[in-house]
Amino acid sequence: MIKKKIKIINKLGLHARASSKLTKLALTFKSEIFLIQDDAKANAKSIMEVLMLAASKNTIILLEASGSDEKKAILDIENLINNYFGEGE
Amino acid sequence: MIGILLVTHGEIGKSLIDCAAHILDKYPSSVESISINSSDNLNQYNDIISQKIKDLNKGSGVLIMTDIYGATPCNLLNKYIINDKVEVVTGINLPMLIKAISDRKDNISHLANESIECARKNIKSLNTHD
Repeated sequence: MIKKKIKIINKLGLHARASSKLTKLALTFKSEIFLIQDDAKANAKSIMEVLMLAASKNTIILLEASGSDEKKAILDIENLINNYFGEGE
Repeated sequence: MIGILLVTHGEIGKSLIDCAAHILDKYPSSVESISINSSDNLNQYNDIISQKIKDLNKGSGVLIMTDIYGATPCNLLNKYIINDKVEVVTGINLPMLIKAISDRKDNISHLANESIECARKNIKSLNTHD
């Protein structure tokens, strides 16, 4: 299992379309992937669970992946977040 | 894949599908809507609803969502729940629809329950953060 803390840096936070992009990416991996924020734990492959985190800009989330492709899963999701979900800001 | 049919007042159903497509960045397949105008001859809707259910049922069934429990669109649907491949849920909202679209590999009864739970979870007061 790999865990990594990541800050949400895009202006709109983990809003609906960003959550959708994250979920789509997570679904390409075999690993189980979770986003954890305080007491809330969301399955990264479920858009509605990700949205329920209501993670705004500057929120720190803990990304957790376990499985055969866990390393790439963490890397790619981190890149998506750090790339502002492709939103430019 | 489980088909999804929205039977609602006015254009609510169509608008919810458009919003879900915007969020998911893809127009969902096997999701359709029927707009009910209660001042129309209601008998005409029976054929329309029956045909849509038939078209959407690819073997896994059809989950029908409507808005107000007890209102005309809801009451038109009572006759279809005798079919065990048809589930009807009320109180539609956008989270309910997105949840259903995203998890359609599931068994239809389970999907209906999960969709309702998701819809309920998303009704919150931002002031209280219960």
